Amino acid sequence: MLTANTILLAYHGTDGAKRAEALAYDIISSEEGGRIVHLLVVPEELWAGMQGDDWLNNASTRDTFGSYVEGMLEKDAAEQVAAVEAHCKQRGLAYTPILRVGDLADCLVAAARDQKVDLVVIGPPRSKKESGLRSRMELDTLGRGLPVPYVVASGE
Amino acid sequence: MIYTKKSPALVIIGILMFLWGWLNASGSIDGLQSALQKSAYSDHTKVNEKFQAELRFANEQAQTEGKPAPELKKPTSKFDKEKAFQTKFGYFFGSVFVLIGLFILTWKAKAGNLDYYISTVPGMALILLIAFVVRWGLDPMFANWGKDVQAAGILSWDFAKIFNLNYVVMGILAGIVIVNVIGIPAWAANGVRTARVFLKTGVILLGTLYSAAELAQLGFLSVVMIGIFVLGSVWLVLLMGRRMKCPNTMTGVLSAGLGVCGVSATVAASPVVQAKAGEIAYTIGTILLWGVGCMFIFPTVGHVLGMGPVQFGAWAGTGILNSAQVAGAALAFDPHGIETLKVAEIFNITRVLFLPIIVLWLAAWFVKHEESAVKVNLAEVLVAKFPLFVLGFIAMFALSSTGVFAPAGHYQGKYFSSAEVKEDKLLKPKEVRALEAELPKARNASETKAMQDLIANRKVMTREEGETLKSVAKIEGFDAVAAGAIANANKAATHDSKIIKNFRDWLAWLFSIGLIGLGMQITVASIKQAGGKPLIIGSVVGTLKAVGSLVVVLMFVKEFV
Amino acid sequence: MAINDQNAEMSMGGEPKGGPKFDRGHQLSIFVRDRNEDLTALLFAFLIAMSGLMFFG
Repeated sequence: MLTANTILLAYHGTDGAKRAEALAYDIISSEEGGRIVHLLVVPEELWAGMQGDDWLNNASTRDTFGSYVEGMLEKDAAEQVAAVEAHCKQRGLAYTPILRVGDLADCLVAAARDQKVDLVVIGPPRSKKESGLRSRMELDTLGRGLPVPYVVASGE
Repeated sequence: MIYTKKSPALVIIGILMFLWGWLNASGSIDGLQSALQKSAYSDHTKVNEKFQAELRFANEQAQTEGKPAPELKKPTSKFDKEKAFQTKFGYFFGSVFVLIGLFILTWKAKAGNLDYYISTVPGMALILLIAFVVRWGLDPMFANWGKDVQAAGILSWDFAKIFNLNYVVMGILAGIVIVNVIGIPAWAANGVRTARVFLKTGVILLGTLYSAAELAQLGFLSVVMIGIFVLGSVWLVLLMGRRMKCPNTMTGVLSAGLGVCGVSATVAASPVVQAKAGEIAYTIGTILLWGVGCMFIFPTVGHVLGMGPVQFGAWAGTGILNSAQVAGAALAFDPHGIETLKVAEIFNITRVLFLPIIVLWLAAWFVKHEESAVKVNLAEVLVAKFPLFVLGFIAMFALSSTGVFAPAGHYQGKYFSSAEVKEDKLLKPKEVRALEAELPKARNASETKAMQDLIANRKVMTREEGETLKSVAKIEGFDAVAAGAIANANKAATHDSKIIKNFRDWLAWLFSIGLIGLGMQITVASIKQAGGKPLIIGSVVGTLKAVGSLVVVLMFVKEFV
Repeated sequence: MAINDQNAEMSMGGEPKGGPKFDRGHQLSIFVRDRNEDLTALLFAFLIAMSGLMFFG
């Protein structure tokens, strides 16, 4: 069975991400020094377009909206971080959160290099039936850019 | 944070524009320009031939009389004017951009307002460059293609005309394509985002072009139509949302977005109804998808149904979900006049005035249905949401009603003045004789008087007489030469109001630049979020609104401007 | 929850460390704020109107 000391986990609270989290705990070595690096990316391309082509509003209204959305994403990210951190604590694992705004795959590759992880664990693409935001991980970028292997949790 | 990115891009754009101006001035691209500006060039050839003939005649005459060859001034053709205009534009913006570009390259940026404002220039220059290419290149190119394809018998209709492939539509399309295919370069990002300021400027300036009567009529029509359709669709979404068991936050944000003015309303209402991130994304995606679709469908349907500017403006202003595409569709329908835009923008302004009311309604609705809701302050919402640019529009309208820009009656861009009729536009003796011969055909005293005045002065004296003469010309069996004389005399007494004509031209530029900038805010990543219940509700409400307002417009709205 | 500045920085588009921090209010920065958009529009419009008056009035 595959084992690793430091695992980079891409986790955004979706069902797929939860499976990835479980898989990471299965894989990580139970001996001392286990560390989960939790990467949470706010997909910039998607959110930057959310003010759309608004032009009628006063700039202040748009700014209120901007702060509202940013605040909400921030709060959401903080909740995800708290959840994974708590799970790691239970298991006696070290925990490092990394929060980024940008492209999912690019940020993942950068984080894997920075943090010198042994393995990357990501969730499966969302099934067509599930609803949710449309923003996918570019597996090509991952495959070419990652210095370490990556594992995708099963979709079932 | 430093906004200005060091990049030679602005200098390059400036040099390109300058070069274009120089090429036009030197005449080295006359071949290209004559292919693009076909009708202007044929006018040019005619003017030239006439001039050459006159010159030859004058020379011959001078020779026989033994005088030196006379100097004749060559008249400027439309083609010359167009080239001179492009030269002026190229030189002006080219040199401005090169200077600012050099400043950016040498300046060590410090955070502050100067940095922020300077950083917007490269993006705006990029948009202006796109506007140049689209307006002076693609627009005439597609127009020529459309005609050629039809003339060659490949299609029985002019595809460029039917699909409205004019500079407005292509500018917006260019924006959408650039942002989604190659992306906005970092040096241009801030300027592209800021370009919407030109739309606001355009609307404020539009205030100079309405007469009070026009504004009152359009205002009344828009309040009635927007009132019915906005309130109706907000109510419908609230109802459908409950039926489909959507969360209150989602229903709230959807009803604002689909009901009032699309993305702008979503932006204004989201914090009030505490919409979730995902719900905002679905709503914006749905609205952008519908908006872009409508911008292509509406003008085509409008042309097929033969709608006039008031009808189309009213329909687009009511039926299109997103306000940015209202301006786009109006200009796409009528790219070389701004009659439709004038109507559509009144509807847009009425919509945005409904926005604070709807936001308050939703706030009240949300408080009633959701325990976690925070009560909003009525006055605060009204003040914060009341759009400043509408105040500007009203101020500009008030200013122009005092007659500073142009006397009342000039707002259509044309006005009547007998005193300003030029010497060479007076009726020719042959025309006067024809009119004298037709004088007995006048049916009443006023018609006789109008004809007598025309014959005596060789021009139309008052606007009323001009109208009377028009109906005289329609008398059965009226001599064709005399009728032609009346038409000529009326035409000679009708002048373009220079200032209003210039305002119209500048407005067209402001709107096209603003709309290209807005096109660059439409990302596929956000459109892809369209889905789920919002898409279903959006499709139902969007279709009902588009079809319903079309029926109402066709039944009740008559052309009156 | 302990997210300190060192391990939880937010940065734009994968920029290196030192971007805005995460746990101090609204510092997740996605949207750029406009400066004086509405006043600029008013100013532009009146400048254009006035130059119209000057050159063509």
